[in-house]
Amino acid sequence: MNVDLIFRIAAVGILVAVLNILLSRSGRDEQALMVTIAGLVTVLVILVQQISDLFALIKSQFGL
Amino acid sequence: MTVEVIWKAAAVAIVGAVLALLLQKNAPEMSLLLTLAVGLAVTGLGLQLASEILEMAVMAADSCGLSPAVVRPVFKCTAVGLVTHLTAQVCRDAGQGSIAVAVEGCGVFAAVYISLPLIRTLLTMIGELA
Repeated sequence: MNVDLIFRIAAVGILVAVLNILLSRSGRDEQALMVTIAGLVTVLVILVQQISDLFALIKSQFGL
Repeated sequence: MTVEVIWKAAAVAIVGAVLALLLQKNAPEMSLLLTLAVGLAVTGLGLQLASEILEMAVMAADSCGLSPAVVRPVFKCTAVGLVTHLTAQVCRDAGQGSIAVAVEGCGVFAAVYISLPLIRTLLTMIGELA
């Protein structure tokens, strides 16, 4: 797993947090929720592949 | 592969923990995903050293006269323990203790299932001695 992936996820998280605050304070709670869900889905798509790669590595190393 | 891996893992873990703390208040779900990503990265770094360690363990077992069939379940149980522990802790970080306990229970069943051939062999040996 590349270390810069962590910084990308952190950047998406900060962006989501900032947009969430801005939209919530403007009274657009539904849009804030949509932004949060979109950010979650984006990061999950990235992470699912990394989880799969790690489990494949564990299986190959330990002979599972 | 050198022990520099630990320095890299420590740096990634500390930076990841600080970033996760930054996100925790305003985006706790993103903080959890970041924590998971850091956990995966650090585990991946450690696993780079695992292959040589396992080769050494197999060599040591060979020199003691133990067959690989006896040693392999130990490695598999180690892997199950690693995955179970990481997953359960991520669930606890999310505040879902019951899911963590369920994962740990599943890990226990998996480890015992992997150990069944060893247990059968041991019972057979005890039966022959008796």
